[in-house]
Amino acid sequence: MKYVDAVTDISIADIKVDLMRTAYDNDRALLNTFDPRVVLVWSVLFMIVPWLFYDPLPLAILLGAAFVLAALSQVSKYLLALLLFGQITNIGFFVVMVPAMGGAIQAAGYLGDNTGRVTEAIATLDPAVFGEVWSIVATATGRGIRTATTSQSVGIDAVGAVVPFFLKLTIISVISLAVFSAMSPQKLSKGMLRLGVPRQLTFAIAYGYRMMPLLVEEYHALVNSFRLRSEVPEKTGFLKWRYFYYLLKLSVKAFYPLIFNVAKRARVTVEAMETKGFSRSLGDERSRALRTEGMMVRTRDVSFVFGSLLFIAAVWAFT
Amino acid sequence: MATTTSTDSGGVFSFDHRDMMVFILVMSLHGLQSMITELLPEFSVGGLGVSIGPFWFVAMSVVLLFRSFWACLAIPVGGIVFGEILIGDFSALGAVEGLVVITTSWFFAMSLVTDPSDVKQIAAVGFLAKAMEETAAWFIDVGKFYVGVEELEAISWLPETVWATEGMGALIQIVVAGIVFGAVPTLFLYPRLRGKIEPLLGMRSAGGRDGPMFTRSSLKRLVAWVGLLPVAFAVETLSETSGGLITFTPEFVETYGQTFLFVPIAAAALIAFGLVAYRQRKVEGGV
Repeated sequence: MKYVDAVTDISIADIKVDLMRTAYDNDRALLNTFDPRVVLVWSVLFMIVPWLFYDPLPLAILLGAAFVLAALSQVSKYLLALLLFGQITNIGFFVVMVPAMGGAIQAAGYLGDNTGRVTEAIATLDPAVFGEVWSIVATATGRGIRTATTSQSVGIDAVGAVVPFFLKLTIISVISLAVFSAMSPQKLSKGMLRLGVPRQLTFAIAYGYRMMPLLVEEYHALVNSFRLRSEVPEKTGFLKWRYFYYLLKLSVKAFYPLIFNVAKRARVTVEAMETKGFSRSLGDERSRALRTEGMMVRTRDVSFVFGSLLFIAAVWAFT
Repeated sequence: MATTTSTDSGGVFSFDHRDMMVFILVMSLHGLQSMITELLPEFSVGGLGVSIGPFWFVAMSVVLLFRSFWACLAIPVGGIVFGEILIGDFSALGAVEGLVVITTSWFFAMSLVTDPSDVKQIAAVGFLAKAMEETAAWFIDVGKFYVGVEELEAISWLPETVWATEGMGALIQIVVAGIVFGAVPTLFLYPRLRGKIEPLLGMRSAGGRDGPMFTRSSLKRLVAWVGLLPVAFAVETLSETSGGLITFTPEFVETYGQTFLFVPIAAAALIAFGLVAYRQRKVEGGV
């Protein structure tokens, strides 16, 4: 159980630190130094590119490149591990699921072929025919189990087919991790604003950036105050389920006071924004221009985009 | 003054400071919820990785209290901003899918509320919204497999397995997020919030209405849900069309060799470099 403990004992504090680092400490990341519009367009482009490849080799090369980018962007290792674990279990799942499904289909097919006799048996209510029904069901089950246990090759074929698919998904996730943990949210929301995204939505990003540490802190404090005022179950039960259930109930309950606090905060925020004329500036083109002035595409941005395009072309041509 | 209720068709999409408050409220709460439930490993039982579903009761209670279009939109936006962009795990095209599917599902379900003081009705409507959302996501996820896996049909039992596993996933989500962490806590939370939280924002509770649950505006919203599903899917699988464009090139590739690919890229690069260098010099020279 030592290994399990190592996984479950990651404390909230560790995650909080990791999270804050991901969201706030990114000035030196490579992708943060480019123009946000270029990075946005680039990332959309590179979320489409992996779908064009079907062979594992070029996809593996692209994945390697994505990892290099992630390393340059100081992506949180915790998130990367979480992502990889998810994808690997997804693939492993297919080894078991496809033969099992095949068995079920075989069994259902055999039953389907014999529906005539089964319905006849039910219609006549003859005990002798019921025996026959029983044997049909038994044969169907037997066939199903035999298929499920003997058709491992089909499972491996299926994995061969889905591995490129999951490679694509992993590449896309790693690239987006690199891009969005590297770019600072102010830059991101400015870039989106310039690309024509409504201001209500780009505001949300900036607001979330400002508020996230406060909200997380507040929620943590609420959970802690609930813990102080309540009793931990003495018997933890099988796999500590009582303890987890207790924590879960606390974390659900803590949302009640949180909702009121956030409501108060939302009102104050909107009042402050209205004082500064937010609604009036919403549809105003001059306000948009004022907020995003100073953004410029430079030659290094262009070299970044075309450099990566050439890389893709090389992968395409030489694999 | 009450917020825009689901019944008045005019001005549903208008945006004033009340909508802004509701938008911020729902976005922050739902976003925080999705971030917490996504990150806390404490909530997975042992090493089994049985994670706890998202706390949908937060969105259900708050959105159905205010019932405006902006509240619906705030659900996916909160999830994207807190659960994806700030963490860094942003699925650009997948986010568009969520934006369309979640917003339209909730926008439709919301219009069915006739009596906001009836907690059971509220919980049922919230559950319906979650179920619609997951069903739509099921079809879209299976569609992704059809696009992303070469010759999916050729491998025996694989399509059935994909349909079944994705369907099971959706069903589990509907039960866990829709009922266990959705409708059931909403039954307790909603009545405790109603009438208390609206005054905090300087509003009155949204009123009910007479007549049947399913009205003409509900029908319009249902049509929008059905109509926008293919759009969500199309965004997800933009690649299919671009794949069609690319498969057109191998003729050139065969004639001129594979290095032909570099010609258009190099040409485009030259033009782009020229333009940017020119503009940069003009700006810096002008200052």
